[in-house]
Amino acid sequence: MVAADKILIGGRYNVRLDRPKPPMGGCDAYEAHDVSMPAAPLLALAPQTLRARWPEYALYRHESVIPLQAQEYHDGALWVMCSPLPGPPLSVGFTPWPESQLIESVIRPIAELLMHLDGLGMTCRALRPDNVFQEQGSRRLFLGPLGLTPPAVHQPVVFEPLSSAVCAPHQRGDGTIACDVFALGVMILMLCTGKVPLEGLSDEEIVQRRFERGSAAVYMAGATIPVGLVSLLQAMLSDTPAYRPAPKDLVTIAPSKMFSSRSRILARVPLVIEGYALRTPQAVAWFAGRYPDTFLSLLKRRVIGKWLHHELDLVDVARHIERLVVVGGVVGAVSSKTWILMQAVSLLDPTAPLCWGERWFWPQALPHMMANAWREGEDSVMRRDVFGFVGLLIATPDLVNKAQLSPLLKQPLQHFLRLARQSSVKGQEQARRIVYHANHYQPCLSDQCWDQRIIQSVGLVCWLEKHCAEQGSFPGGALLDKHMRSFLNVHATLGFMRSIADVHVAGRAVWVSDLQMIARVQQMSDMGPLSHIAQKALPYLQEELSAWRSKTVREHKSEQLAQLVERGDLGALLSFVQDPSDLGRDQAQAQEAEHEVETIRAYIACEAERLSATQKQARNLGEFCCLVVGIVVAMSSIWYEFCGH
Amino acid sequence: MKRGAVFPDLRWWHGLFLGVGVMYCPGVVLVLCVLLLPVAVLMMIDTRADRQRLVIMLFYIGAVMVRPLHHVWGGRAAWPVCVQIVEDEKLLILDWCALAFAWFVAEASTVVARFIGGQRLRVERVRLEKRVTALEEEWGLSSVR
Repeated sequence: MVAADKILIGGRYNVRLDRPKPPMGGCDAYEAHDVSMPAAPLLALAPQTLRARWPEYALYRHESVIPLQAQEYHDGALWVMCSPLPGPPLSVGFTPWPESQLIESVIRPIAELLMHLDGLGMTCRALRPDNVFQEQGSRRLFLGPLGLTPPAVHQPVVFEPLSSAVCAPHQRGDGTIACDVFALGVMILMLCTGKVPLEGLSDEEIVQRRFERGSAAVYMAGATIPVGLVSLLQAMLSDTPAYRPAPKDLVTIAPSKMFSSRSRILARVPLVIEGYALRTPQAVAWFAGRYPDTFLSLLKRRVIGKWLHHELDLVDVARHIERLVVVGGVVGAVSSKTWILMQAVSLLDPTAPLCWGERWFWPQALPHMMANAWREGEDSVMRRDVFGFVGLLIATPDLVNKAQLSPLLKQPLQHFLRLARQSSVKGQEQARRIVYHANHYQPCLSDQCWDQRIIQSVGLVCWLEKHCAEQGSFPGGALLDKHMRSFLNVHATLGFMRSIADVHVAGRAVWVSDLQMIARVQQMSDMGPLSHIAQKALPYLQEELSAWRSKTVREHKSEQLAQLVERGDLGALLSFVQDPSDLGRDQAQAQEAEHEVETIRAYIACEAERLSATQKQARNLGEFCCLVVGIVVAMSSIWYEFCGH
Repeated sequence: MKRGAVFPDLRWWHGLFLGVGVMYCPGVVLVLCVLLLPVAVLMMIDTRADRQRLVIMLFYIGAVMVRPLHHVWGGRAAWPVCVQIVEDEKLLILDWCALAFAWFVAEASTVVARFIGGQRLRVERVRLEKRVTALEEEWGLSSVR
């Protein structure tokens, strides 16, 4: 067995990567066991993107949810250990359940779970056959661990209420507990009838049928349902969230309890859009998004307003929707079509998601949509739409106030704007940072390390060190890419008053700030030497040494640098390369040297004067010698004349 | 020709003294005139000779003059003794040679001193140029000025 097939997590759990299990709740699963108890098998889950409120979900325990045994980080990626599955998921197959058991083993426990979650302000959004497991030999149901995937990403359209079924999976947002009640209703219906309703139809067709006739009616048509459950299911499957029963009503349910199912108000005369006869404002809203031109022409001809007024008695809505066309108006760069349609949809159906262009989404899901869009291709429609909207929203925050939107949409939009204001940067960098600000458990979006699911800055640096080691000494290439930079920046600011890594020195090369960020992580996390990263950065660091003007100092420092690189302490490296006092000293010395050279040159330049001075001096000296000799000669002559004989 | 600077600025009392000298001790004046003749000649032909140099020359001439003046003293400045002294060729040659020697010593020592000074300047220049090159190399200064 290769060592890479087996990893030890948290010093305790052995994960066998060579023995994958069927994915669970949208996460890859592997066989694992506790080192201290090798006989007890465990399941290791590798979640790709966790929910933003993961810590709360990780702490949450309920008897109907498969418990987490531990969550451990390995190389910056989160691994979740949970007990082995109690049995196969419902999607594998099951026999229909009788009414009493449904109430006893499904409705009550899961409603209790939902009630708890609702009390904590959380939602489940993962009630679907492949995430619900039936204990072998008994009729107990267990839910897969919560919070391991973004909300409702893997939910089939059938299990989603209309308000979220119209959105693409990544655009559904947290939803409300009413959405979970709807999913529970579909689950009960499925367990009664033994099959998933509307099986075999495309998503588009399912949504269209539900809008035309109502979800409950479409799902329950032709199905044999115990009489005692009919009213319950009708209430749970209602398309109006307010009409669905609250979880606390379901916890205390008794067999054959009657639920007053308030039916929707249907128009006496249907509104026809592109051949579809529509009787509810919700249906009109959805078809408006589908056929915007037809809808707008009807709106302009005041057909919609009159229909709402006369057929549904929605006088206020009719008045507001008529005013949309009159006021019209284009805000910023928004086309009037998109602008009017967005507000009209929200007026027609206050529980509907935001309709922007041809895209339906809940504003809560915006950060997740952005993360998803970053992973898409450079020129994908998704990316263009999402960043077009986000850019517009950030550029003109007034948009939210001016638009006539339901509070369900306005509040999350305001929240999103608050998030956007957290980072001081603008443009694409801001868009990248929002994702990490919104969800601290968002893995780094860089293409290079996406598969590693890195959600800790330490993990990213470790990965980088390994990556640099594998790359060998290939020259060139930046250390970090844009996503890594944003990731490290946001994670550096978490828990700090001031962003440290944001202190960009103007005119400095990018890699210096990259290295600063990595050094910061290294300092904070007390990790080992990062000699490979240092090795890769060595050429750049050498370049930085050219700031020193003295050749000897440069050579000396270069030697020291090589030693420091061996040690792999990036902080020391950076402070060594950017030592301001040393640099100042060097500059001062350089100036002195320049001054000295100038002085010497000036001195050499006036050599002729000095030469003439020397000649004059030489002449004086010659005369002096001559004088001395003359005196000596004269004295000797006198001495010889008078005393010599 | 800096004749004005070299030639003594003769006044009327110079003539008076000379006249008195010729009148009362013509022998001494004769000897002095003959022996100082080389200095006068030098004064005329050496354009560079200044008063200071002439004073120096006087030491050498003075050294030659000690003996004849002693003789003049011994002969009580008698005319025949003075004429005899003036006619002594050896003394005249010695007088001219003393001047030549003085001139040679002055020129030679000047040349030697000039050579030494020039050498010192050259050595200093080489040293400074080396220093400039070293500084330029060390601090990466451009050598084009």
